[in-house]
Amino acid sequence: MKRVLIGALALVPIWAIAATVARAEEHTRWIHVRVVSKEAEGETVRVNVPVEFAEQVLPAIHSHELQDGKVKIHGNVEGVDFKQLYEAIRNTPDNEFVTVQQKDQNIRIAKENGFLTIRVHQTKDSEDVDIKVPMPVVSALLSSGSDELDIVAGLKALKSYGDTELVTVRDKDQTVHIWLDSKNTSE
Amino acid sequence: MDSKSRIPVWLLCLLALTAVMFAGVVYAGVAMYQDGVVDVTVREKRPGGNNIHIIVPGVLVPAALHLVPKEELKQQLRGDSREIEEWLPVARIAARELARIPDGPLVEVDDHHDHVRIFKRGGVLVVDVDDNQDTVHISVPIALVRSVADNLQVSVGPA
Repeated sequence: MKRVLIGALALVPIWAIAATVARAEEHTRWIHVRVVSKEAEGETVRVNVPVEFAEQVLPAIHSHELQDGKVKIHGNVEGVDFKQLYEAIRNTPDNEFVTVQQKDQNIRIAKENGFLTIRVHQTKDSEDVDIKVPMPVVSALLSSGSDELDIVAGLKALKSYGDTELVTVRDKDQTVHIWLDSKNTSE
Repeated sequence: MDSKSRIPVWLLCLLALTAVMFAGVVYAGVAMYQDGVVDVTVREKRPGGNNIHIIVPGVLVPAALHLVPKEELKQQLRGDSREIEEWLPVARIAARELARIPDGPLVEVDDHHDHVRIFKRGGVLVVDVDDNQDTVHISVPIALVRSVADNLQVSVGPA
């Protein structure tokens, strides 16, 4: 009896270490990027990055548009207060905010179940873009200046989410897929 | 004291020498274990192609860096190799974070001819490249990447 008790006690630290390691791995959130070319000899690129890794490394990169983990928004954004726009959307119930139906493209921007969704379908280039971002992540992205996206803040907000599809782009040349989960492989 | 019971001086010297050698071997073993080895294998696929296999103890790399004159290294990193200096802080943080993340594939590129894999296994960063001409395998201890980046940063001064 005494031996069994000592044996069981000896197993406790081993179990504790194993459980801690398992929990640490389980809590690691991975961002996956997969680009699959549709050309006959085209390439497939898979990138798997832990969110924490990106969170730590991005602020150290000072290259072109990426500075201190923030990216400048280009295009005609003068006079557009994205934060105010977001606040207006956040405080309204689920709804479609923008619907554009043209001969060669359809655009739909909506708030659905706590996510901001953007769908673009271009018939001319047979291109489909699906973007789905949790509202708190949008808020974090816009938490910096009005003309930049705070990627690091966005990643911090994203960590608390479970498996999430973020971006899917399909066109005649390639498919791009970006998603978040707790697996370290993109299969 | 009886002189016959004394240990001969030559035996004491031999024991001391053995102890020093043993300590050296143990230290080298510990250093090898901590810093690992850099393993580079290149196999050319053409008939009669070269097979190159280099194993360098990781502990030798920072030591070799110390042998390079600091001023020369600084000038090089701030001159022609300025890009390296700019990316050193990123490399240091990336190496530190790489040590913390779980094992797994980080980058995979496949096309009809080329296959590239970059993954973390244990404390080692592995790069495997397989194309029409060569097979290349490189494994570098992550602690060594960090140590080299730290040493280079010290050489060029604060970021």
